[in-house]
Amino acid sequence: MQLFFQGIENATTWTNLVYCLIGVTIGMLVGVMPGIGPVSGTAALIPLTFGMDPLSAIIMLAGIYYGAMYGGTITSVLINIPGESASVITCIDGYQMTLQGRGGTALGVAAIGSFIGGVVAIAGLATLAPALAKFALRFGPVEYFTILLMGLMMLMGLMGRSIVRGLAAALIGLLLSLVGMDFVSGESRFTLGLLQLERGIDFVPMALGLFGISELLLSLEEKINAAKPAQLNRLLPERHEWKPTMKAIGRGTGIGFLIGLIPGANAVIASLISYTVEKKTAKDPSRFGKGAIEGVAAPETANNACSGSAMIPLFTLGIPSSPTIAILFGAFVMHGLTPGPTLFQRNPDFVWAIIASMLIGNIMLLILNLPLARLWARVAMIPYQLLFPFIMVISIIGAYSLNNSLWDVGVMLVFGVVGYAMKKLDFPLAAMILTFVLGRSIESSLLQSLILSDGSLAIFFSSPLSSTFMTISILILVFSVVGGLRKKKIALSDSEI
Amino acid sequence: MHKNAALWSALFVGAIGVFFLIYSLEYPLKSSVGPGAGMIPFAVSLMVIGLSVILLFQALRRPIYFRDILPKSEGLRKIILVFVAAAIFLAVIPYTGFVIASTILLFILYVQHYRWYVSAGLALGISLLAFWVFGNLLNIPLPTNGWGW
Repeated sequence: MQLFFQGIENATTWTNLVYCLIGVTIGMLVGVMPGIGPVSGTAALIPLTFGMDPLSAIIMLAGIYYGAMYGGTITSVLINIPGESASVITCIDGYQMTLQGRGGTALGVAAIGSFIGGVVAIAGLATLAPALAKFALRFGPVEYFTILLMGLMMLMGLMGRSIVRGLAAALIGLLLSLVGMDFVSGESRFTLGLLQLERGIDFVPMALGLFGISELLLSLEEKINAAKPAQLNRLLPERHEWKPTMKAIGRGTGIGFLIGLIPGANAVIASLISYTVEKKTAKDPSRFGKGAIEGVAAPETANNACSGSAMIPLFTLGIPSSPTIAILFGAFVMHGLTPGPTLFQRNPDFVWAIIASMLIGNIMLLILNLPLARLWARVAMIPYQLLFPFIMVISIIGAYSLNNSLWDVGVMLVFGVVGYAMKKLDFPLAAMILTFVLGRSIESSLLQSLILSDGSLAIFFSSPLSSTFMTISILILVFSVVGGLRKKKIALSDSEI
Repeated sequence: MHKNAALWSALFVGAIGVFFLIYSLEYPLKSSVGPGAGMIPFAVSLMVIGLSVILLFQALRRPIYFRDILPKSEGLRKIILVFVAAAIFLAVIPYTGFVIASTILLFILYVQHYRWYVSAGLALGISLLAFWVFGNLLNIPLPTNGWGW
């Protein structure tokens, strides 16, 4: 508790409050605007934080991440355009509520639910993370490798429709991470004699290309015509609606929190599952799709709870569970911090200040959202042909500013093509970026394990923990392959909603 | 067959695997303490090649044609234009500096939708604003020409 109050003290300095506000505001903008998501928004700003204090930098970047969840809701509800992928589900009932003249209520419920989900997730982070981090200190390279493997298997099992494509993307990401100097042997690997590759491929231009440029290109294919946002009247539900709304928020919080802990299960899945649960538990499921208030409250709460709890694997185990968290992982490393169990030990002030700033950021977002909702929605009305060249220039500057090198801009554009092709052919981008970010950790823990065992793979079944993680990994792989062979879709289809 | 995008993607994945496999043989597979610098890349490359073979069979059984996934004429033209504009940007920026290169890039992208004088105004305005914000306020050393912009 003392550490938490210390964290609040550190997070509430004027500098950190300003950076928190900047982060959540940019996050709102990123969430509202189609064509740019939290991954590319965060990645583009990382180089700009180099001169900043690490705490302020992470506060701002984390603010973008959870701010985008709030921002995506506004356009989903008011103009039926999801600004961010996790808000797709909210369009279903949210926009219907707007058509019924209840857009304000939808936004109010979404904001309250997001706030509650976010705060509960932060409370969970504050409660569970220290204990989990202490437990994880017992991990050796064997346990670390097996938990990484399990996390990646979960990711591949959940993302995309083809385990083969997921594995291919993941292993290529792993190979790309090995380019550059090998710190164990001192060898320069796969550099093609190029000086720029001695330090490896930087993840910022790679992420900007894979997620940012590819998304810009995909958005160019569609014509996004935003209608004028409707008038907002009442912001809160009717008296008789409070009880079902709060129940939906409660369920959404639980579902989102649990899903956020699972690598690969991102906020989209959390909001999808939450919506489905609400529909299945409702007394009158036919209301869903026609403006059911629970259809807005539950998914919005779930996606915010998920984004908060996703920080737990990052802080305690050093495992990013989604592409945006992977970018945050990279930001930590760039600022000289190593996410994982030792972070709580070596930098407790830093960790608790981040947790406190997330609470403050959620309060800021609640205030920013409700009175200014219509203003935010107007941002989405900016014609895309006006917006996307501007986003492209920001992305170029973001890539360039990493090393003040046009090489990184070129890398970004190449990965833009790669990301576009991957999206068209259903290769999951998340698998590639996550293994890329974790690649060196995977290699070093694997090598250390094999050195300890004189090359025997049996070491991965030597301890109860590692055996458990390996068994789960194998089961996930087997079920995914079997599921693929039976042509079963792992993700819920539209017809089930 | 050449119109099968899935086939090309499988071949591309295979090519990446083969590249890393051949290259990894230049590094020792074993060291005095255990696996060498080439071991992990070698093993992973083999897995990638194996996956590419599976993808190849999948592509032949269930082809995905370019015409089904690529946008039609207008959309494709816009996408190609983005890369043409970006290539021109990268080619000229070492000589012209950020402002001019960015203005050219933005002009090419805006002139598809707006009149030339509106596009020119937008392109120049955004470039100058970006240079001021990132170059001056945030002190990012953007490439400049002989006049310092």
